[in-house]
Amino acid sequence: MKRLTQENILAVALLCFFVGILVLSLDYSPRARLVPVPISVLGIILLGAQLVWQNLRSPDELHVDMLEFLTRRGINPVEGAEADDASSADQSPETPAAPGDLSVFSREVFAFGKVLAFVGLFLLLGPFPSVFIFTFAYLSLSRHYHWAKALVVTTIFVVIVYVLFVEVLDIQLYHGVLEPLVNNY
Amino acid sequence: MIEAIGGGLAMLLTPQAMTFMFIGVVYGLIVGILPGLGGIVAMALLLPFAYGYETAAMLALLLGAHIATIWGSSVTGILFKVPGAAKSLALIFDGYPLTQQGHASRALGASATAALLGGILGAIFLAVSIPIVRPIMLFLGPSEYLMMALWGLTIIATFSEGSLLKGLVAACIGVLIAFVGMDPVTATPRFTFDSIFLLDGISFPVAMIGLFAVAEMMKLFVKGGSILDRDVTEQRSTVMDGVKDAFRHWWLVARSSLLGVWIGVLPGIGASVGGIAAYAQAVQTSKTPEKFGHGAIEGVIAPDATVGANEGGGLMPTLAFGIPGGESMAILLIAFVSMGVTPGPQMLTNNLDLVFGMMWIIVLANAMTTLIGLVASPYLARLPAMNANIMVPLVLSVCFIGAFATRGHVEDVIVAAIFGFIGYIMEKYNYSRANMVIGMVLAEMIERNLHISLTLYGDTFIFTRPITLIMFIFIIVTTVMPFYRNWRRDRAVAPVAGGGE
Repeated sequence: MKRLTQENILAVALLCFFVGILVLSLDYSPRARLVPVPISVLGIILLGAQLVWQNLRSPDELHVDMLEFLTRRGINPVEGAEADDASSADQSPETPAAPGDLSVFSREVFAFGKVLAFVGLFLLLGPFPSVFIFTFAYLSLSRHYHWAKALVVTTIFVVIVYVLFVEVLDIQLYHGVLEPLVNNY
Repeated sequence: MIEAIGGGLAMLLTPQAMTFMFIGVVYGLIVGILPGLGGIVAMALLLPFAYGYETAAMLALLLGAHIATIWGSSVTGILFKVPGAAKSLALIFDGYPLTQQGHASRALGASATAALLGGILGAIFLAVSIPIVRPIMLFLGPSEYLMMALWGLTIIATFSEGSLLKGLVAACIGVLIAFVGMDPVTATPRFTFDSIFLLDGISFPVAMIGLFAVAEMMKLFVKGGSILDRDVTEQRSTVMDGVKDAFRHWWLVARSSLLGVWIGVLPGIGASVGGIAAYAQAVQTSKTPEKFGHGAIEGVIAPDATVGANEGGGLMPTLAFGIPGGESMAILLIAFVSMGVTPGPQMLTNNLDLVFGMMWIIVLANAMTTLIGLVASPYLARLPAMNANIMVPLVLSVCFIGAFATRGHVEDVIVAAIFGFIGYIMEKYNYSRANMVIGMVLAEMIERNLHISLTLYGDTFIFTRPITLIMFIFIIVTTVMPFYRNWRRDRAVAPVAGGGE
């Protein structure tokens, strides 16, 4: 999918968000909506302008740095574009880790999936079992460590985190939604 | 007054007080480094252990821990782009690029030294200005606070990394997210969708964990390698370079410290706004503003000096009026009550030695924190070189437990993950995450003071309050001035360019 299409989808999604907020705000009392309504209207106007801007101007003009604009850094537009390209090649999330590896989109899906999996484990099992499983699985499946070393590193890490949060900071633990089921069984 | 200054120091120089301060500082550094847990958590957890000891020891433990959390949260902001607390947000803009370029030691050294100098200068400024602070505090009202918050919003232009329009959109989203929960003015639940959890609103620390820490770890996974730029194989500067930087920019440190004191003195503003304002004034007054955002050391020094000085200022409304200057000062008020000390105007007359004792605690705790920080910095600076395969699971684990520990709600873990996704998308498409947080921080202050101003002074309060009007004009002038200067420069350049053709 083209970058411009992605930008348009995101802008439209944000536009829907602001419209939704505006509609919800209208149900509140005049004082409760005193600030949310103007802010959501402002958001709608800004996104409308952004949509027009990004579809009618050339892609180079989309990335106008406000600091550069205000301070007149005075870079040559061509050089600036090249520099932007170079920096985006270094830092952009679209840069793959290694040639021949998974595509950027696949890695992004994996990244989202890993976070979702961790949160799912957290809700099911509670913090420390989920940290243990996630860390051990990550270290061993990424093949960064042999599974035995991964197990040792994970155990030490979990013990440190446990001591810090539970013993030193006295944080009350959450035991996960599975615990009552296990107890009943 | 000199006697009170000496008495305050003598009160502290006991083995028990100094030991308690050391324990507090070490504990505060650990808590500060953990994401989501700031000074208020450190003080709240220590409070039950502090009862039964001498007054100076109790205050040294609590304030020492609080002071140390400030630098602790700066560390993660500089090294991992994970601000430990809202007040350290501004540090990520230049601290993290410095880390990527192999200057983490220098950034940490500058940060620790600036915080120390800010703490010392803040205490001195405050001691000198005690006689004039009270009338000024009483003179400023909600409409002036509203103007200060609006001035904070103009900073958004500075932080608009990719495009001004997108930067403003991000700020609007931040403002609206801050309104989730019970409206404190009308007691109306807003945008809660009948969820009891959302009645409390979205927690700032949790949102920041998601927006920065979770999003950065996702980005690191997608990118691979480590946080450092690929051509960086070793540290390119030392901690001492950072220390020298802080002294070299003494005028910036002094200005930022003064700003920190005054922001601390005004109740309800907080160090979060202070750090952002300090960064903005550093950009606006710099001869090389184009370097900011790409690893300018001034971008680290200014916010840290302000936040360091802010604590001294925060003591003033707490002690003089019993109005906490920030959340952590509210905990200090509880400690005062347990000690039988009643904050109020008489504190500045009858208990002046106690007031100066606390200023000495700020100075000494800052010195202790900086000393430990300077020793630890070279080791901490190695952390960003860790491979993504190790860093991602470890940082994600600490972040999610930190998110849970913030309020003890498991829903906060889900919120952190959602904000992580949002943060990743915003980063990818150049919607400034910093602007979103600035919007969140300032929204409540703007709304609350707008409501109070309308109630107290009527619809035309901007024109009926002279100080408010002056501040309003100042905001307009400082916002329009760069555009006007640009326009004039363009006009001056146009004939030359035309002649050249």
